[in-house]
Amino acid sequence: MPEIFEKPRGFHDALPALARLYRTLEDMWRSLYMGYGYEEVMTPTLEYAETIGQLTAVKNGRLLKLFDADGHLLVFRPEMTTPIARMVSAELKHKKPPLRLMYTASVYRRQPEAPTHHAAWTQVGVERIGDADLSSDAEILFLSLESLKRAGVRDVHLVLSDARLLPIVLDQVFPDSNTKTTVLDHLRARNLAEVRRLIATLPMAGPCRTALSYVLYPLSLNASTLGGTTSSMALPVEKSKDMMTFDDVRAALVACAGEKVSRPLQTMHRISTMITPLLADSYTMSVDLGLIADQEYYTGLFFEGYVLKSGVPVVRGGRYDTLLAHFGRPLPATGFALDMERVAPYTTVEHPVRPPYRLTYRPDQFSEAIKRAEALQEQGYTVLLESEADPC
Amino acid sequence: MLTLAVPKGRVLPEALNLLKQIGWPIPDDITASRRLIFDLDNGQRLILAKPVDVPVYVQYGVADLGVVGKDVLLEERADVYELLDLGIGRCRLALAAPQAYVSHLKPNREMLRVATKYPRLARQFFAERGEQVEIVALSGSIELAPLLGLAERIVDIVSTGQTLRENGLVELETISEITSRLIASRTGYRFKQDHILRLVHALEALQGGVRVDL
Repeated sequence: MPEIFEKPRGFHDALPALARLYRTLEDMWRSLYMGYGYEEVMTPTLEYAETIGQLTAVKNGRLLKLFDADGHLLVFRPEMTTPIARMVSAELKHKKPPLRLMYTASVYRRQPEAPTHHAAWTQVGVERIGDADLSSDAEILFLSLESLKRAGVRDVHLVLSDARLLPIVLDQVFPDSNTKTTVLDHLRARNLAEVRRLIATLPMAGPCRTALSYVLYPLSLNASTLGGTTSSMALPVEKSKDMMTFDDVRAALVACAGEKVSRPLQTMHRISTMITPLLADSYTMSVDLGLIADQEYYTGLFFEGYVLKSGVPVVRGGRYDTLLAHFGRPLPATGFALDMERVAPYTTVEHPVRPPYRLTYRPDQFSEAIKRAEALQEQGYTVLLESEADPC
Repeated sequence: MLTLAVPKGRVLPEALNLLKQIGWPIPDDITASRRLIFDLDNGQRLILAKPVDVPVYVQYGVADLGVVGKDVLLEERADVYELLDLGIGRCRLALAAPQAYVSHLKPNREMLRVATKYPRLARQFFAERGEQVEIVALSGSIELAPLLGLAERIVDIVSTGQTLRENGLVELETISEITSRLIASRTGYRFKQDHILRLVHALEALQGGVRVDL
């Protein structure tokens, strides 16, 4: 039996100062997204295990479940993208794409590994549905970085990848699917030591060994590695002869896997040159072709954003062009989600302090007191109403 | 610049030796001192931590890098990058039994009892063999458990096998070979990528063997 003050494992209270910070952040982000035409939506806390529970990219073992009164297995929503995909295919079926939607919502997951971790937290995010073009990917990247910048977060690093590239290269190098699976498993487990060993020892063509070695060497993105964008040198870096550039990566991958990899890389390059001039001070970006997303439902460009010493990503996003088809409305889509409680410790937002005003009144003059209180609030006070008849 | 967590105890001298070989200025008193944080003259910082805690400091991102045994990595399943097999701290995770119970159980007991510091790995090992066992998790001196009749098997790390022999235990099977690994936090790997890759290269060059170059 729990102690009277105990909460279920992984659930937390937010005391006034923290709750105020959370609301301030939500409001700030909401107005940022609304300014770019995103409309807020809300979905139920509970969903059917057979629908959202099946289609979500969150692993089954991480879902929080319960039975409803009719014996249906339900899940607490583990993320918002899948419920929104359902909404777009049902209630919003007749709304013409593109749809720009945003949300701020609690999401729930089992945390079997670490008892102190959160089982519920707030995700703030946007989904842009119906657009497959470069500009929608760029906007999503920009908004996720801008969200952190407006919240006063410093020392941010964003890692870009494209879900199409690694499978193309691995298919080329290892026609035998077992080896390919082994490499992917090691990358998923972030065991680069083992991937290094495999690349060095498995038989493969020379150009492919070079291409695969880029998996182990993430590329910093800046004016000098991207080349040709000297108009706004956000990061003046002296180009040394052994410094690898985006072109080197492209050349190596094409030499191994052919022209198939060209287009995704070209898109990534264009988006990078669109985004890097807008990077705030202390913000950096890189490309890591060996990055595997924590949830593997991306079909194109995807990314993870970190804050120095945050340990894990605080923002994740990317293109997911196949999810909506499961609900019968095939549409391309891209979006991102910020984990608010993870970002909060690194934010520096100001909330105006309203000085308190203690207003005492006689019980028979309550209406007058309220009028007076409203006038004071308009002058910027916080009004504490106290009746004169109160014994204290 | 880089914060590196190294494990106190058995592997520490070997780890420090590797760092010395790549030119890190390691103070001589480091193993004798009781200090836990050392700021080196080359700007790097060393943290001395209990081996099992190394992946914790790294996973939370307060240390960029760590040196830790593969046994700890497998048991703790930390969410970190494993960058390099350092080839030090070589030992093995093994199954051992007291001489008297090598081939049979204690009478009237339906399940083997297995004492270990590695409950997850032990459970996985027996599950893969389809054997039901009772895992008794201990935090040290595992050899004591069979001597006192608490367990008929132990799963523990063995390097020379001397401790086992002195306690009348027989090594039955190697579960996996263990060496120490260089690990990186997910954030450290992103923010300090160049420094980390340079360190990986330097350590790799020491080994002379497997090497992936651009």
